[in-house]
Amino acid sequence: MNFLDFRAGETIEVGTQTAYRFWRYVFPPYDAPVRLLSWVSDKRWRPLQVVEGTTPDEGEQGIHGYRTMDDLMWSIRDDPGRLVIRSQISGCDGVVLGSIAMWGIIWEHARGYRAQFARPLSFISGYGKRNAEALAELRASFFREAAR
Amino acid sequence: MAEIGKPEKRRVLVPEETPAPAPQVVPQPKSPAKVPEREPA
Repeated sequence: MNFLDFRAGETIEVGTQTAYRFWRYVFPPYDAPVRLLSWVSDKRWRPLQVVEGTTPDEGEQGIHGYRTMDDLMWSIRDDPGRLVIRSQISGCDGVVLGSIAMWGIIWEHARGYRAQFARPLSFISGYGKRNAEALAELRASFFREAAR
Repeated sequence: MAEIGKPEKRRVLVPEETPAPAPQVVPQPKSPAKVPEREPA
């Protein structure tokens, strides 16, 4: 974190903010691990790595997440199948829903957050081609250190 | 990902657990160079 991003008199909290989001996943054409991609960009999320977004202080930038799973489901009209279709149009195999820990600069919105940094906390459900396989593989690769 | 509503408040959070720094490689001390024995004159 860059301490120049802090504003005078601003309270600095210790901890992270949990949020809910969805990603696209894709199986590479060759024998390689399933890839996890952001929804709106081709930013790849990798195991054991922190994702740094663009600054949340500008526009709609930053890593997006919903306050609750209900907010997420409301946003997609309780129909993950619509996301699957859109993900497959972009060349992916499906979508994964899960939770993340956010920190750094965070903008609170009515139904969610935009954050500077994030890492996945859980993968809750998957939809699309080989979704059970994708979910199992993502859980194993992203949380293998935590399971030890 | 959209539809998170209007921005309301800015916060700054610092995680309790900071990522561990990369392990430093401590160079092993080299064994002292052997001084060649003088050949007899």
